[in-house]
Amino acid sequence: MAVAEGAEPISLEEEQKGSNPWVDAWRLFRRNKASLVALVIICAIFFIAISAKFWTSVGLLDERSGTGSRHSINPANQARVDPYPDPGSCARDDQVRSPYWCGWLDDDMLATVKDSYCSYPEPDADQQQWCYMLGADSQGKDWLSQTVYGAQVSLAVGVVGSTMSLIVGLIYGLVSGFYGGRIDNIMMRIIDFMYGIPYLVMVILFQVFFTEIAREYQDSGREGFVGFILQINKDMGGLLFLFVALGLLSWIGMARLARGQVLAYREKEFVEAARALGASNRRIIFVHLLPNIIGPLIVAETLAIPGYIFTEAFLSFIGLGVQPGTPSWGAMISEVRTRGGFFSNRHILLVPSIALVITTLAFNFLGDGLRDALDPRLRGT
Amino acid sequence: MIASESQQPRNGITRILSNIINTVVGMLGGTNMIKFLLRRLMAAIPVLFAILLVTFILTHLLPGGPFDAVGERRMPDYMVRQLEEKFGLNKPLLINTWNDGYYPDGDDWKIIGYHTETKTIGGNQNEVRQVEEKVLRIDLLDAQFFGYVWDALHLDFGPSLNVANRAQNVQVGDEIAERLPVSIQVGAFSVLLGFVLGIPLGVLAAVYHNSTVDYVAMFFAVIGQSTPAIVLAPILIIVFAVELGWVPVIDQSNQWQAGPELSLYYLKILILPVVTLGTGMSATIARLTRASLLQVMHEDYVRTARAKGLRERVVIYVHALKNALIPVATILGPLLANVLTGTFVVELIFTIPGLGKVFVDSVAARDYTMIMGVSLLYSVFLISGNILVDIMYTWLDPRIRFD
Repeated sequence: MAVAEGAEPISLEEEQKGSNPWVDAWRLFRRNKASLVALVIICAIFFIAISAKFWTSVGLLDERSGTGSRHSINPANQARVDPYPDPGSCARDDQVRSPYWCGWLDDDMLATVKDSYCSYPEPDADQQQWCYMLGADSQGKDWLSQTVYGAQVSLAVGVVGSTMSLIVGLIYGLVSGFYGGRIDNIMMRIIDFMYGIPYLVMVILFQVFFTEIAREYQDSGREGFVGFILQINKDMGGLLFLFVALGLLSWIGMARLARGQVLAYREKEFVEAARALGASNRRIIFVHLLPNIIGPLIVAETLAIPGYIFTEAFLSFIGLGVQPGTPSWGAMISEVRTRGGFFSNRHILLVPSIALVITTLAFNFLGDGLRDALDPRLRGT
Repeated sequence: MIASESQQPRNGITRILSNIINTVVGMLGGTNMIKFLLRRLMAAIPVLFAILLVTFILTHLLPGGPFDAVGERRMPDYMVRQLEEKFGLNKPLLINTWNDGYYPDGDDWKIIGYHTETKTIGGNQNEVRQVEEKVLRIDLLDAQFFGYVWDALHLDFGPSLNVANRAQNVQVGDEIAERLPVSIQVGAFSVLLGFVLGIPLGVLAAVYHNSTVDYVAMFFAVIGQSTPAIVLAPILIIVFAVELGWVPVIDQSNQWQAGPELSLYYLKILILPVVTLGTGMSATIARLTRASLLQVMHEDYVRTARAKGLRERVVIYVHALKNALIPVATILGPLLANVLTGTFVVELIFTIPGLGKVFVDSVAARDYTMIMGVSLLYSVFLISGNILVDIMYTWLDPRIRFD
């Protein structure tokens, strides 16, 4: 990214100090302020996503599926009550919540709210009202909770998708590039072959297939290995099959990149020297080649993470991603749309949208910073 | 004399023909290029076959079938059987083995002819019998899949099995021919917007390198790259369609199928999908243009051009930009290959009656033939896009050769 440039060149002593390439990379990375901010944001998102359970137990968030909490947004069934409540709208809540969070309304506010918005015919004294900070969806589920739990899904897809593709692509590319010859030829034919497969079409087909199989098994009673896998998938909210569907096709580009890198380094002098010293193939690959080729691969994978997140969001948007009931940003946007939210309560649309954009933006900036740090040839592009 | 007369016109024709062939070969990039192209095209055949196979297996493994229900009601069994017979779905799926129980002749022994046989019974009483000559009929390929492949080779993609379509005998090929132009409209205009917006932005950022202009342009490019269609599209719809009311939310007068025309209404329904899809593309193109132009600006010939006193504008826009646009032009291949997938997303959000919507609907309806047809089309586009990239590389950069 452009922000990286204009920074002062590395001084001599700095150059000599950094003997470890990772220390060097960190120093280069640190100079790119935008990427540093992105890293902090990503860490924050990770922290929020992982600690969601804690906030739920404290009472700030609801259970992600909304089954744990029994809210009634439209308690009196009054026609004039908006089914798409505003942020800060009130809900009846018989859950025990910590009094320290913002949700409790004081008596004055309670009175105004009762008069103006959700006027209960006969307010119960012991049932207090809870205020959603970012509103709720049409079923009365807290929008903020769904966004936070949706971050889990998006991050999981991004991280697992990229890690899987990195590992598989790296192994494939290493084997293909290092051993060369006939193995390389066959493996590259397979890659050429996979390149002709329309990615999204296949992912959609796989997803439909997996969901339908899961549903059929559920009807017939889960047993055996398939039942076990299906149970895991169900516990993960449908993410397991999504990982499989993404992982089946996403490693191809990475394998090509890894092979190109291996080919570039295979004939270099240091590899030859290692071989002359009698190093085994395994040692050459893991000690000499791998540290040299891993940088650009990590950069490419970081820049690919937004793609995985987009794919998941899109699949959830058309109802083929996570299981219904599992909050996902794509599914949230889709819910606003399908329930007519484009016309009525549209600002809640902004919450998952902004979350999605910030996450992908952070990963893009992080990738740019990593590229400056790890891939010296591409610096400044 | 006669020989030379007959030789003369043929010579002329062959000369013209060889001239034409030479020009075509030259245009495509020499004989090596032709060989390369042929090899790529040959390699595409097994890919397409495998994609058909995978799609076929996946779709047929899905529970349920196209004739399960009409609306809410379940179809009676005998009607399902009739329909399956009509559309050939009663055949075995992949391979017609003899214990599958499907033989159009009604027997696994096919009668290929008769011969007479004389049998002597008792004294001189001969009995002449006609004996059937039969062969065991193992037509392994007489199955749904190979039937489909055979038809597809003849560009017949079968009837659509959809409830609405099968009643009117709509062919998959016709349906695709109707929907594909819609997708192409969205895709082509988006690519156009991507280049028209992206290249100037990238050039601007590179010319004013490390200035505010650069930072602002690149910041917007990164934002454009990070905003997926499912975020941008709803916001655009809310602002411009619902709130301001400048454009219709959905196309009400079937303009998409009617095709492009120079009218305000067409522009109105076109603008939001194209902006949604084109923004991301222009961001990618802008960043690529900037990087490429910055790289070229450091090359020797640009310094030479500066040294001989050319104006900065001439140096940048004539000398540097020409070479800098080579990598930008080669992105057209992957863009065109990906644009159909991109339109996929946009079509579903804006409910445009294009191919993406047809595909998702047909998956839900188990419209086997339609799923196969659309998948095949997408992979053909993808493969030709990949081949196009290689051709463009050799066209634009003579240093690259395929030997």
